[in-house]
Amino acid sequence: MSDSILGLEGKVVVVTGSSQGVGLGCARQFARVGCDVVLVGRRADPLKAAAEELRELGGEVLTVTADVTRQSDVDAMVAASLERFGRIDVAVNNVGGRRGKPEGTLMDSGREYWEQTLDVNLTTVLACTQAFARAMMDRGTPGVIVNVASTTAYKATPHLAPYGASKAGLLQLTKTLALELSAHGIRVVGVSPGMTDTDALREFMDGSQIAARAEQLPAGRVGVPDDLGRVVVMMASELGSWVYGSTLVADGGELIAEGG
Amino acid sequence: MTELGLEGRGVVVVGAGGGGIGTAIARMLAGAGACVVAVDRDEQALEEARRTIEEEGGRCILHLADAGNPARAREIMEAAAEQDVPLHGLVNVVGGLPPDRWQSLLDYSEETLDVLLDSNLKVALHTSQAFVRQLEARGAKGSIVQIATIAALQAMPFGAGYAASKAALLSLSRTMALEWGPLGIRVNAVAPGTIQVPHNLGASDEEEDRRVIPMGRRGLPADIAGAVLFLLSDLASWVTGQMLAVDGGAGIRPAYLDESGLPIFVRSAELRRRLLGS
Repeated sequence: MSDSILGLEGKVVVVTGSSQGVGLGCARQFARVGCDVVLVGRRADPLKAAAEELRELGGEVLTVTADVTRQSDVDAMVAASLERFGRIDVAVNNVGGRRGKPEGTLMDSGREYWEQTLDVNLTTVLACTQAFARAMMDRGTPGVIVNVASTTAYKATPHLAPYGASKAGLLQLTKTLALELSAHGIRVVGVSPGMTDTDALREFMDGSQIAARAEQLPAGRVGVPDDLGRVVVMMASELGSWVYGSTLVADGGELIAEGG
Repeated sequence: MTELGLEGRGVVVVGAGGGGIGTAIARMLAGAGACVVAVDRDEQALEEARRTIEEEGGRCILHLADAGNPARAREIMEAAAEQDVPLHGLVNVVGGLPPDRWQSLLDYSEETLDVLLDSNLKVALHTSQAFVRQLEARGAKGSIVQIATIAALQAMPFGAGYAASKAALLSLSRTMALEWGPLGIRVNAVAPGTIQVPHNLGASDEEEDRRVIPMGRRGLPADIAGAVLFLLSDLASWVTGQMLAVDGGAGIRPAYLDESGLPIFVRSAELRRRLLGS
């Protein structure tokens, strides 16, 4: 262990999808414990605002405007991170979610929506992980990759089935990546958030619906991005150094209350 | 160390002696500034744990008792709650599988099953109940971590009762998390893989370990302690009812890999050469 119990001071952390929501919660918690952070998102303005907030916590912050569903943007994200910091110690594959409009039940679900959802939640994570892992291997720096899954991976998800299926696939991908990359000193782990109060959630639930849902949950509230950020920090830290391929559910008890 | 927020909080470690996982947890907690209540039924093992902790500048209180007795469990938690620091955590490092309890299922005795359920499951119930009673009386929040095993997730030849009792412990922990969540008490489990501890059945075979554990070695007690500290800490304030496997990847390694790490059904010599790069 290094001088602190987390051992993350001065580490370079890249978080995809980090201009807002869970990604920003992760970036904020990494900055809090002394990391330099690369914020990655599709839109420049929210990235800039997020960077301003994080700089006040003390570390260096780089913003990269990129759509990581495009391979050229993935390569550019890694190149920009290496150019600025010289290495990547921790990468958080947070990008994901729904693309396009949900099309109702599975019987109504079109091929395009299905493929877009799998692309952003699964294919994109593989592409990003390949690029992150190559950067770590090329420089001989051991690293950690954290995949952000979802509690929808464990249960039926009416009207969100492609999302749930893609996140279930991510749990499996995390295991095989962990096994294959362990030989290169790269640790791959996952975190599964439950329902979390983000802009993405508020696109399909309003405040009163979220409050009604919160009453049904063991914790009496839905999660907030920093709840997840703290867990991702731990999984990436020295405290998690013997965890390989596991995905930890962080949901305030939602899953044990409602089952899979 | 302020990252974890464990400074000045009381944490009871049941099974803290012996120089293995329990001792490592107690040491790391003391190093993080927690006030450790170290519980064990072996006086010498407990003293050794104290010596190590105090040599490292940590603070701990010893409690010599068999926590498997519900009355003793209550006494332990009463004493822990009366310390000058707020009681916050409980770690159950109890049970295990003694060499004389390895048995094949056809010959499995009821007595062995009872012994293993007592030591691996019931102790954790008694200590957790007594711990929660103390917190509830004070309106305090807290965190419990149960030490299970990855064997609970698979078959365990000759250790069926042990694996089943730990699987029951995982289930018990989920129900505890749900019933005690409204009190502000989180309950989680850590499932270690093979760990190098003083009472292992034999010396570590490094070549064999490299073959079956993706990280190429057995875990160390401190590897487990790190995960336990996380689950006790405020970093994990949104994690409850969960099990974290801490095993260097042993649990994700399929049984059908050969010595070179390829699936045994990859038989084409050309494909093998390409994948292995030779």
